Amino acid sequence: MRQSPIEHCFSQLPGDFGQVGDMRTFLRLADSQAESLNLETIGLADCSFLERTGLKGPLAMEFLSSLGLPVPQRPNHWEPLEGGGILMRLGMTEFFIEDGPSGGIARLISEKLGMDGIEGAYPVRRQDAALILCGTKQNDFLSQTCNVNFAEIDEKNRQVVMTNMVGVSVVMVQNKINERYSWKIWCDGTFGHYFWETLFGITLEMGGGAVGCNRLYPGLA
Amino acid sequence: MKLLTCPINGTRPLQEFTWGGEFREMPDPEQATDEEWADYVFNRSGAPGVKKEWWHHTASGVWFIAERDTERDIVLRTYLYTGKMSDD
Amino acid sequence: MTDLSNQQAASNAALEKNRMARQDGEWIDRNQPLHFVFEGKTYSGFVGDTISSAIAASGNLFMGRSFKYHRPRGILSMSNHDINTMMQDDQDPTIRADVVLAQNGMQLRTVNTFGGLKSDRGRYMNCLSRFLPAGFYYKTFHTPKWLFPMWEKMFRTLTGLGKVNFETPRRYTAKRYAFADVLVIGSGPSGLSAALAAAKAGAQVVVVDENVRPGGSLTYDYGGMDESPALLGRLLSEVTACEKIEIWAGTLAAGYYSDNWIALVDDQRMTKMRAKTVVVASGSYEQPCVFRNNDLPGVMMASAAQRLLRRYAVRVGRNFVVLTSNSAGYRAALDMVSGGASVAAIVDMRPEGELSHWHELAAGLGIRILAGHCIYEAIPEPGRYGVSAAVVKRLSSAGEIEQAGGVTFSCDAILMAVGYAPAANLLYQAGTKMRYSHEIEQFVPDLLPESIFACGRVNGVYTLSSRLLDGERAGLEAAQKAGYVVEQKRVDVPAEPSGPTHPYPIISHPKGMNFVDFDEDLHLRDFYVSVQEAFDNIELMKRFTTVGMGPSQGKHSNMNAIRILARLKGKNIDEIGTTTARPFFHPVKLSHLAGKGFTPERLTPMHHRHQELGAVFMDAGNWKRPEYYQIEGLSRIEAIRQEVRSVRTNVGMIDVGTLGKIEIFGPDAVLFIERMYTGLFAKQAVGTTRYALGLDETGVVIDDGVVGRLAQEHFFVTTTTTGSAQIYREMNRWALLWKMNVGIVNATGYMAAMNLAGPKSRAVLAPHCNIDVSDASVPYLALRTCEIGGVSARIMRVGFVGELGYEIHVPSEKGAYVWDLLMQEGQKYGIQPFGVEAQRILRLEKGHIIVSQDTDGLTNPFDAACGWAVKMNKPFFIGQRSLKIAQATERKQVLAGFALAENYRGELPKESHLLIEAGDIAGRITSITDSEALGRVIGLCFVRPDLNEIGRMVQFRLSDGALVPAQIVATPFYDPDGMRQKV
Repeated sequence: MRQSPIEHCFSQLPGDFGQVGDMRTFLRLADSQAESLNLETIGLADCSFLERTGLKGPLAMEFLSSLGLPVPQRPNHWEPLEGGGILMRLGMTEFFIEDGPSGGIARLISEKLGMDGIEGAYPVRRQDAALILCGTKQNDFLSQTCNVNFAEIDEKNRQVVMTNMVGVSVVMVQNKINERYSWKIWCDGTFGHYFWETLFGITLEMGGGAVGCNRLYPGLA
Repeated sequence: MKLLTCPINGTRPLQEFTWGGEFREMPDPEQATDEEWADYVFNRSGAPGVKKEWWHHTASGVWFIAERDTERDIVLRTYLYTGKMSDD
Repeated sequence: MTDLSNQQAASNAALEKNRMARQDGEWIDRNQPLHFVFEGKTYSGFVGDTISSAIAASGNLFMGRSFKYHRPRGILSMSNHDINTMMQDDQDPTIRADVVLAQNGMQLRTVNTFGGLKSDRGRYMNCLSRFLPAGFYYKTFHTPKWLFPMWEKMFRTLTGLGKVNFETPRRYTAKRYAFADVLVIGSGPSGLSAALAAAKAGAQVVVVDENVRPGGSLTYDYGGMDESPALLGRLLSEVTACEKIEIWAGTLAAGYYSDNWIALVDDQRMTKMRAKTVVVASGSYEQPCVFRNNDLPGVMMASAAQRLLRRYAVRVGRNFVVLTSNSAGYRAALDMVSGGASVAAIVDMRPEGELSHWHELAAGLGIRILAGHCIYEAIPEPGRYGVSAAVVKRLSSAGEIEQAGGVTFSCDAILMAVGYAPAANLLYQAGTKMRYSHEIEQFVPDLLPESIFACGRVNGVYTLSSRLLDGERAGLEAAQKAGYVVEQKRVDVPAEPSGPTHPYPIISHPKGMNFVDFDEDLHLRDFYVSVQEAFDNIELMKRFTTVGMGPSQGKHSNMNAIRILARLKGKNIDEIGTTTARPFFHPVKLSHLAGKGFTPERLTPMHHRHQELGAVFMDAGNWKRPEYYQIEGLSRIEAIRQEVRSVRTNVGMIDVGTLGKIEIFGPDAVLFIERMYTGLFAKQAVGTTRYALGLDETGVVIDDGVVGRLAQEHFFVTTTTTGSAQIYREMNRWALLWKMNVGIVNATGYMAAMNLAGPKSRAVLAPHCNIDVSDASVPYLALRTCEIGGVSARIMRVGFVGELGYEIHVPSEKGAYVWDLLMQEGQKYGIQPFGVEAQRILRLEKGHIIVSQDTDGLTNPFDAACGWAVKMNKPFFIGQRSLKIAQATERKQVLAGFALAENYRGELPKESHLLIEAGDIAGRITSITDSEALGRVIGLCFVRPDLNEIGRMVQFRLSDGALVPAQIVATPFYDPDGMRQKV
């Protein structure tokens, strides 16, 4: 049984939780009209339930290639995985893998590396808070929280952005989720509570709010 | 606020970085006299001019070298440390 | 309001005495009338009116009192430096009426009167002015000294501005970041031209302008014709058609910071703009002429009257005298005539007068033009609330006033058009070197920073056609510098034939009241006094007279002050220099600056469990940690003691997830750890842990923790809570420098950790662990991987608190689950969660140090009595070489244990209380606690080495000076042989 680092942030929100994989996850707001509005304007969801793992080391790239995975050739870029997952290259020799709702690649890598890693490839057991930011006001939202010129980032380039958002180190990727361009944002789970509360407050000010995972990954539970 | 260019992550505001001190070459601890060692450990030049410094991009953990002209308050260049002591 | 009364109000507003019929390009919406109250009187206006324009529309130009002499004042600039018309309402103490839009229902008062605008009791200050020269309070009120507080109070009351309302609700303004290739500051003809040129070259352009509409001087400086509005229309339609240009009107570029970071301030918030290049097209400030009574309501800058006329359809007078030294004065006169007023005279200070076609146009209207003349003084109307005439005298070509003769012109308004000062504040802030151009009598940019460009009036270009060209040039240069290919060849801007600015628009008068600084009420004589008193350098003069230190920050006064000083000193303007222009350009509301703060906070995965258990949290770095758990009916100390007791007798559990946790992999892992820490790790067996002490290069203790070996090439290292980020960062740097084949992974966030400690801890753990946790299987200092409740875990036998104990590390996402499991099992044994305070006591009883509490920035391991953890004979570790030097020198202090007498019942000494020996300081306490287990007060202290003998009596000095005897004792205090942790 895994616990989302930000599960407690939803305790006051009227809506439904459900079991997704082995994590209790916020699925939908009780007020589905409000949720639709959030989704359209500016919405924030917790998708920590997705399986993820990482690895680093001089031979990490070779190891991933040996598994037949598409490995980004440039630092700070990503490639899509089967089942809706993504494989990110963080800097030169570190990688971060997140599966889609039906994946299994993260778990496979985890198992292959084991606890002690293999030659030149060492496990990074990611336990991030994983958020999704969606809606038409994304750019306005980002301009209030992050000092990066996102206009220079073309989503077709599959770029990974590592920066600081509201004071917390984050990894960010722009991706199409359920036919919508959205930002996926990961941060260290121990900052998750602060991170969610701060971002959520800003979505409220902007006329948006929380979105359940079901809106982004329909048919979860 | 100043900008700094991380060789991996690109140009970002200074608040994304941590200063790692002046780049110094460690004398051989076996060979160095006490005075030479103390000079390496304690003495830094505050005179304005070109400084070679360590900088760290916090969000990604990238260490790099920045050459900064403190007299003109500009960054001359930044690059990854490759191990060659003088990299020209 | 009903439609009918709306119409009625609209016609009322339109009927205001000085409001004219609809003007082309006006900024007011005549369909939206409004009403507000100022000083008890109701005024009408329209949406789009500023407060000043609406009041002026009623025919009233008397809107405030001056700062020091409480003289009647009115409109000066209509461009955000009319400090004398500053107003207040219940919320805002500093409303700048010249630019703040009027709103329906406003209740406004002046900021500087006692008993209302007209009957202000402060107005008598004017009669005392002879006795109140600049700097008078420095000398006059210091003797007798005891009276000074009374004078101080009086002057602070008399000279204050708006009143702050402490009940004002907190306003919350978000900030935002923005980016542009080219930022153009100012949307006058040169700014718009620059924007178009840069955008055509491909650049993304943002144009900001502090006015609510773009256009700059094109919105008011018509010269009685329609060339300006036509040109503005053309420029704006081009700009609107261009996708690459955004115009942010009502947005002030408030300050320039490093690398083109510009603070943009609008009504709602501050935007932090980062531009690749910046075009400063900020224009200029029209400057006043200094003559007697130049501060009367009705005397104003020519551009102020033009702004009122064209933007708000307000005519400030019926019969004008225009004082000028340039063509702008003639254009203003023509504008006033086209507004239906008459111009009694144009008084031109230049001996030759105006040589361009503007002269013919003015003369053609029958306006009397007097070249080589000046206004000697303005004559007030009987109530002193306005102007009734201008006394004009001949001015010789040398600038001397001919006292004999002169003409007096009746008038109800005087316009001043004697030149400009560049709005160069941002250029100065960006580091531009300026020079004084004697050709145009203005400071102009001499050497601009690489990515900063200037054009238009701020660049000394005044001819309208040249401003367009200058803008185009700057826009192209800025686009090119921002990385766009510019194909067009150079744009040539013709040199300005002459400048509009008079070199010395200052007319002395024996009776004074010829004002230089309208904010601070400084007249010409004050500057003479300053120089007499030897404050004759511009920076000293500024501080003595306070010129330029008022709310308009010298925008209308600095240039004249410099001119006066230059003349008095017989120097050139360049030799005088300027004062420093600091941000902000105009005042910025504190609510905009305070905005939203971001202070990240870290919580462990068990945080909400602690909350449920009644934890009182404390800050540890950016973490929240339970200090202790509240128990009903127990005080803080009692609760902490109970937590200690529970660990010593049964079992307790503490969340140690905040510890730094670092995994080190790879062939060089062991060598790397040998170099990072002082101990020996090469022969460390897999499945064991060792104490790790980390030093900096000077040999000072910076961190400690435990090194566990999970596999031949895999180590698990813990660090202190506050040291973790730095240690991880430094490890990476050293690995890079040493070119080591290691993988360093920061596990701090992804591992939850708890220390299960106490005699019953094994009984709690055993049923849930898939391996045998007996002493034989998991001995003291062992490290094992296992599963607890099915969760993969690492357990370490540790002894920090001095009892049988297991430090348990599990993935964060399962931390709360494992915590719950053990807490539940622990119920059988009376388990209690314990916090940081109980842990501090427990470890102190064991004599274990806390780095940075029991050590400081100079403590090496020998000082800290940790020499045992340092292996000096290994090849290298960080700090080793420095320790070799330290080892050979005498210790100044060492850490030692102490105990107070068992029956000591007095006040407890505290950390940092001093150890006193023969009257000298010989040490200090670093940790102290009243130990229940030992039945006495124990602690650690730094002590001079010669006093460090077991059994030696020493004494500590309490805050009140009382001395408390103590004895140096051996550590550990509790269970010295460590039998309790090795069971």
